[in-house]
Amino acid sequence: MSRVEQLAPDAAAMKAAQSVAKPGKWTNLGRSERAVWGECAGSGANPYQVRVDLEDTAYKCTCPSRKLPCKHALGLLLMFAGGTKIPATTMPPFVDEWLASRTKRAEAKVARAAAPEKPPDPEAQARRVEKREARIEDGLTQLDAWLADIISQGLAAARSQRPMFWSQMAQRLVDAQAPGLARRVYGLRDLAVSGENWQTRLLSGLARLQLLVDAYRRLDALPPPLAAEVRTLAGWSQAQDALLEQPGVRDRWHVLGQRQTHDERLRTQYSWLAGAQSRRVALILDFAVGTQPLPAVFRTGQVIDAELVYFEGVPPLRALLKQRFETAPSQHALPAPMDVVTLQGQFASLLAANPFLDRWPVVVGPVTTLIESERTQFIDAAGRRIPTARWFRHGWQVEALAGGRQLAVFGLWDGHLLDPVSVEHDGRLFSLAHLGDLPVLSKAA
Amino acid sequence: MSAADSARRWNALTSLATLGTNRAAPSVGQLIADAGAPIPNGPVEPTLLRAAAVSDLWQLAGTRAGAAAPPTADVAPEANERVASENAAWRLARMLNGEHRYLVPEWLRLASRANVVIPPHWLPVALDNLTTAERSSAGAVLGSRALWLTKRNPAWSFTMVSAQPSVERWMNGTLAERSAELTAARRADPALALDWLSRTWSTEPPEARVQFMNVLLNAAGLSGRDEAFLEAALDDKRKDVRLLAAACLCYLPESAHARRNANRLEPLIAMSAARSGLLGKLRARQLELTLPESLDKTALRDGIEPKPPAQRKIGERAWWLVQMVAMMRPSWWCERFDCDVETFLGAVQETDYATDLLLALAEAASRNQDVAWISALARRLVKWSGPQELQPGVHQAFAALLASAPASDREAVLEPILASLDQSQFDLVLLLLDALDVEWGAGSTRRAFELLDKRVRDDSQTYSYARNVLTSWGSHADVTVASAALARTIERCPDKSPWRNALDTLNEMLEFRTAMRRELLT
Repeated sequence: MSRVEQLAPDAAAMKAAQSVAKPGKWTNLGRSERAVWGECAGSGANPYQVRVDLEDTAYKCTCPSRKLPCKHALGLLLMFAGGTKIPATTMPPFVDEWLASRTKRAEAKVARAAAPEKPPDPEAQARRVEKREARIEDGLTQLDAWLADIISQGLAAARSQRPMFWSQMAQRLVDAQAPGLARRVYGLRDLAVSGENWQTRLLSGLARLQLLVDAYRRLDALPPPLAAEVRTLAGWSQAQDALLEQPGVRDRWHVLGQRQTHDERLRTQYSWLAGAQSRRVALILDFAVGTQPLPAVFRTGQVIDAELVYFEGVPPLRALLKQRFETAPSQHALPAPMDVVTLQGQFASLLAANPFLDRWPVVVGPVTTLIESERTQFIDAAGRRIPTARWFRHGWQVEALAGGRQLAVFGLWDGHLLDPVSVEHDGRLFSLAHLGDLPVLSKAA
Repeated sequence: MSAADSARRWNALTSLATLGTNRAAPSVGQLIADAGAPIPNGPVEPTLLRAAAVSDLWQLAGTRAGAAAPPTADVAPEANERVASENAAWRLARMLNGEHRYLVPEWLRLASRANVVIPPHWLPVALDNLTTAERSSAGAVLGSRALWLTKRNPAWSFTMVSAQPSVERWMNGTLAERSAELTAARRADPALALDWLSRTWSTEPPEARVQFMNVLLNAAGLSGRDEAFLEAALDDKRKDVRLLAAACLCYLPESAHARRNANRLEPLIAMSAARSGLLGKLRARQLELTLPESLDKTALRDGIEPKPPAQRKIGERAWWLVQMVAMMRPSWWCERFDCDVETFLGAVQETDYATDLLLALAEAASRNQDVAWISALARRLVKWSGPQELQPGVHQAFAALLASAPASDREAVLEPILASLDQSQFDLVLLLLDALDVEWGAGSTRRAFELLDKRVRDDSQTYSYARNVLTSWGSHADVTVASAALARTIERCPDKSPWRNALDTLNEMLEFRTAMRRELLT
């Protein structure tokens, strides 16, 4: 049930789905090994034909809703997961055809991947790169002037600027094909209105941006991995096809936690993995535009045997799933947690190698919780405290779970605050989730 | 560079930047010197930002939390409790978030029956969102971890009423806590609670007296031991206290209050003598009513209200009589007139004040939990109120009667009544069952769903209901019986039937409850 909930694009869709998840509304319900389907009466003249491919959780429905999955697909899954009897019958044509076309498309994709690619015209490619470099250079000059202007007018003046002030500069950087820099400029606006001590945060953001501009101008002088990191931060993407050609790291990867973010068009799913043998962490990003579903490949608490390829970075973190193996996974185990001194020491050395690092996935523990005036802190065995992010609302849930005993917390550490994603207590992993507006902690494994 | 130095430099840079170099005009050389790291020479603004970057990173990398003695661990006691499944807890949270919210009490009852507790990590959701009434009935389902938690979060501290009544909390708590403590004490040891109350009574403010008198009225356990205290409270300065005390005294059939009421009633109601012989048996006995002429001070003191409520269509003097009847234990009438319940009720029904008197008798029967009277009155109220002209208050009185019947007897009252109705009286069935806020037994559920099935298939009556018309059926019916019966009805109900939506809504509720049971009980 809770997994169906996670597929819902928003709470309203889930609510609507619950009202649809009644066998009385459905005809021609059926299922096979691979799929479940049915026809649901809607406001139109013909019932909507709804089908769900259970293999990779893909949906199709004839309703006009632009949400994906729509309430009908969710409703169907809710009934399926909720134990409503759905007979295993032969597939009606509307399911059969859809599955067939999906299989065909998947095969075509594999075939395309296997086919030797037309070698790209290296000259044309070089010209494109050159052109983009010139644009970025132009963008950097504008950004330089803009930053200098803020400092000469003063942060207080910048703070009272309208949102346009920030978005215009960001847009100019998008036009200059430096979307990474644009994102940072957008972020500055939030820092300027971030409440008490905003000056510190805004100056720190501006200073880091200046450092990035300086670094980009000196790419050749930087060690190659850091140069790659800086280029990525500016907005160059690393070619995934080429990346997948390289040998990866095969390991038993433990899914430590997941999180989704939405902006207007794009939904991003973060999945953090830890390798049992390699002792490395990896971040897999999945994107969905508009109404596309996010792939449900990973689930918190799962252990998968897979080969991952890392993007270049200092240290490498983001990775791609190259291949997944069907061997039985072993029992999960969180990476060994570290105490607060180790955490701070490790972060300092990461910063020394990459001064642009803004957060890093860590497992901290054993710690106990301390809740004072609604803010939660974690305390390690030596009594060292770390505070949690302002938006962390699960303090009491964690406290209730641990009952004053020790636990380990997986989260993102930014040098000041821990932003928890999941917690482990008594050998079990719990993920921080929301049910509507209620913060909840749910057992993942 | 020391930590204090770096903090000082960072603060200086922040002040400069906030003000703006236009106004502050720092020197580039000084900034470079302050940065404490090689940064390129350049215009003042980027130099300031570079110095800030160095200073910021320096501080960030250098931050070390100080060691301190960890706070003394206040660890929750190990408890050997069975924990409800994760799916069951998810469902509880969904309900607390608004989905089928009214089924929360049932979840708690089932969990209690299954002898499981809410998993600890779900407790904050429960403690934040359960109502006070639900929390106090949840009791053991919250488990020992909840008790530990409530001591740590002040927002939850009022949650628990300790099993052992504490005189400490009674003496020093807030009014709400004291009421809760008195209720607990009253349940555990009524005499102890009375003793507590008598000691402080004379110094309690009026609001507290009203609240505590309410506790005595609602916590059960009233007995002859309480009479002297209650009798004294009839002279309280606050009217609410006086009326509540009178209401309490009505639970004591041997009290002076009851004797005074009987003395008042004796001259007002008489019954014709039973005649012997065949003819006598055919002629029903009759009641002769005399309305009271006036109310004396004693009657007022005993809680008779001189004015009827504004919405009640009744004369003043009849209102006085009705109140006296409502105060009297029902069995008194049979003793007095040497008759059975049906004979007496038959005679009441022939009087000019039949409705008001039956409702008054229903109130008395509910209070005394007298099953013979409850059953007879409930049947009579139903039979007597035709579907077209339901007397106001009748179905509420019916519901109150059934709610007051001990759970073990309720089914014996309700099922025959439902069995006596047919689908043409479906509106009445709806009204009665809607008013009823208690669970139906298997037999009643079967009868109700038979009526529903017949009504759905009866095309001669038009459909004039909202789609949530069967909501109370979904929450009160016996799940197993109802699910099976409803499946048959839905199967036979054509898609175009106006009943379709209501039946689907009902079905969804029953499925939800079935799933709840499956998750908790298996």
